[in-house]
Amino acid sequence: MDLQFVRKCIKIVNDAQIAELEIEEEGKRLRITRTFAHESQVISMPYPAAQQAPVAAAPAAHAPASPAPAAAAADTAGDHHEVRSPIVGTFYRSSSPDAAPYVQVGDSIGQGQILCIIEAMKIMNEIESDVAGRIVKVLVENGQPVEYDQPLFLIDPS
Amino acid sequence: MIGNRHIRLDVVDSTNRYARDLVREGPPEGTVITAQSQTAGRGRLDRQWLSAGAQNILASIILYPTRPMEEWGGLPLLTGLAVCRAVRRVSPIEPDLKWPNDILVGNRKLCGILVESGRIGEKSWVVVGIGLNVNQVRFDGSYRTEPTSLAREAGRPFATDDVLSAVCREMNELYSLWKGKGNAPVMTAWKSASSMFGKNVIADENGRRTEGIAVDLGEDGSLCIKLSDGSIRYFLAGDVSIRKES
Repeated sequence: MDLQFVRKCIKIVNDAQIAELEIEEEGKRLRITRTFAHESQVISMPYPAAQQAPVAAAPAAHAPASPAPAAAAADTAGDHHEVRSPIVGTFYRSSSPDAAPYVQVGDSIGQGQILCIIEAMKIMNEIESDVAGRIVKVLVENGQPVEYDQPLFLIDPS
Repeated sequence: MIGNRHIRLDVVDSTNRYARDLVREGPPEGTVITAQSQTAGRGRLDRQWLSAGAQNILASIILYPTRPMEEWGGLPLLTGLAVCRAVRRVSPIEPDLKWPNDILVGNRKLCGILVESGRIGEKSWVVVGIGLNVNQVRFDGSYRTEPTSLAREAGRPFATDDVLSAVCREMNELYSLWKGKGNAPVMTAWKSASSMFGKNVIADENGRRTEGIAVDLGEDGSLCIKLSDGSIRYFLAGDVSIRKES
């Protein structure tokens, strides 16, 4: 049971707006719960402790705190597609401080086009668009830290 | 095997740029691209990498890591460690490692590493760029950190192919270890090869400076610093310098 799997499960819980998901396999148990009133998620792995449980829990900070904000977020995104950060790191809109941004609001982009770089542990990770369309909004300032699964761009799919 | 396929170029803008373009053609993992000289050598954030023609190692290695992305922080560290071990193997020089991927002799910089990654469809690629100064003894121009080379430190020239072979061999060993067991054994080996632990350091994250004592590496490759109030912070990004008085 690796962290990517845990993250996928968190996404399923968030996307499906379900209260609890529990999976047990090969002697390991993963339970993800959503508390609709205050706290968004509690991750519990009672068997072999996840070495990086705090990292796995990071998406909680960006998960909707209640169904109401979730609905509001959905309104903001509307029919637009969100490109999210696959990792924790620093967001850069261009390859260097002097270079032009990879994309600007209003630009038409193709699927697979580089949108930004997320730097983590000195690895410059190119983040591509998974859809073709038009950039509607850039949601993060250049040079700012980003969390796992944090929305970075809104794209109007073509 | 790293280095089984070796593409030798005379002049190129950047071996990393060449490798990134080549990735689209699906070269085997471990393909190494080297050049005699670069017209647009660069480091992190497009900082310029200067190297005199045909004297140094300018290499890029193509990898397709399948471990979870949150473990990729081990890759720059294992690259620095591989270079450090290779230098020890081919010379009497005792280089030091400074988090995350600086290789120093004294306070002089011997090697620069630039790791870039991306995806093509469902496949992730990583290009590890290594600029290792071998035979260059004169460094004109301005540098952020004073540069040095194997020849300058050892007082004799080296065969760049021998040094590159040693780097590939060490890199192959550490990358195989990482592929099989992840970050933990690489972090342990890295810590024992670096003198920075126990020293006062300053971490600079986009101008925000934090001072403390470097005490450990996190499992994800982050640097663990103990602050004066006793609290612990983990750094995943930023420039770290070691305070001179420490």
